[in-house]
Amino acid sequence: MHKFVDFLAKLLKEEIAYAHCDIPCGIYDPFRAQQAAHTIIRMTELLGKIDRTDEIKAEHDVARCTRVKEKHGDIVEEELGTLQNDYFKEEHFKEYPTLSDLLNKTVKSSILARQSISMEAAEQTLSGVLEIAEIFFKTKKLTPVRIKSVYPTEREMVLYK
Amino acid sequence: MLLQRLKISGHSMEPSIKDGAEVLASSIPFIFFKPKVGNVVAFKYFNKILIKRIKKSQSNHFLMEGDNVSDSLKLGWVNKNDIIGKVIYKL
Repeated sequence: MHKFVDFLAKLLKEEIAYAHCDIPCGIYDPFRAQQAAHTIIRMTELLGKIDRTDEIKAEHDVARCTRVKEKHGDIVEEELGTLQNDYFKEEHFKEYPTLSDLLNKTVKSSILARQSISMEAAEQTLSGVLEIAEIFFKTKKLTPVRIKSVYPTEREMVLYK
Repeated sequence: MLLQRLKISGHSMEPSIKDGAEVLASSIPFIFFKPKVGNVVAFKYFNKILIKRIKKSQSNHFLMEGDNVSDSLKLGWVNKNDIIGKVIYKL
């Protein structure tokens, strides 16, 4: 039965069916993950500065900052998932042997940054995202450059030249 | 398409269908039965053929989702007329 189906299949013209996690448009960019990682840091900073003199307002501010931190953690994880599953190919993982581990570690840091108010986890998330962005641009045969962001976090971003 | 050989490009259907795998898809099952939630189907999306699993159905519209990473919010609802076949066999 299998042999018959295999034989039959060979007679049919093959077409490509896309199982991409996004519309197969080829548009990938680590920018959004970087911006979201900066937001996680900023929200973690703000959570540490909430004024407790008015407890009701403080609870409200905690809820708002936590919501934004959670949302941007989701963005980091989704964007890295898209790069991991759709953009990076086998040859990229061969050329950059640490890439797979780096992606996994950065997603774990993002989860930890969402679960807690941890500047260490937030910093690790951004650090991982920046390294991934550098690899991304290298795979595009571009030279990545780190510049100081214009965000209140005052930390770096990766662009290219 | 009564029977179509499709080569998969992408990882969104892993682990059930891997990148580079080949499958057979056929429109025949949908002559007799309506597409059901859980069916893996090939459908037209602009000028491409996409392959996904049906997550929800509503009248003649179907919400598609990959097994690996959900992207149906980006795809939206797919009309039954755009479904070109059910994946019936993995080569």
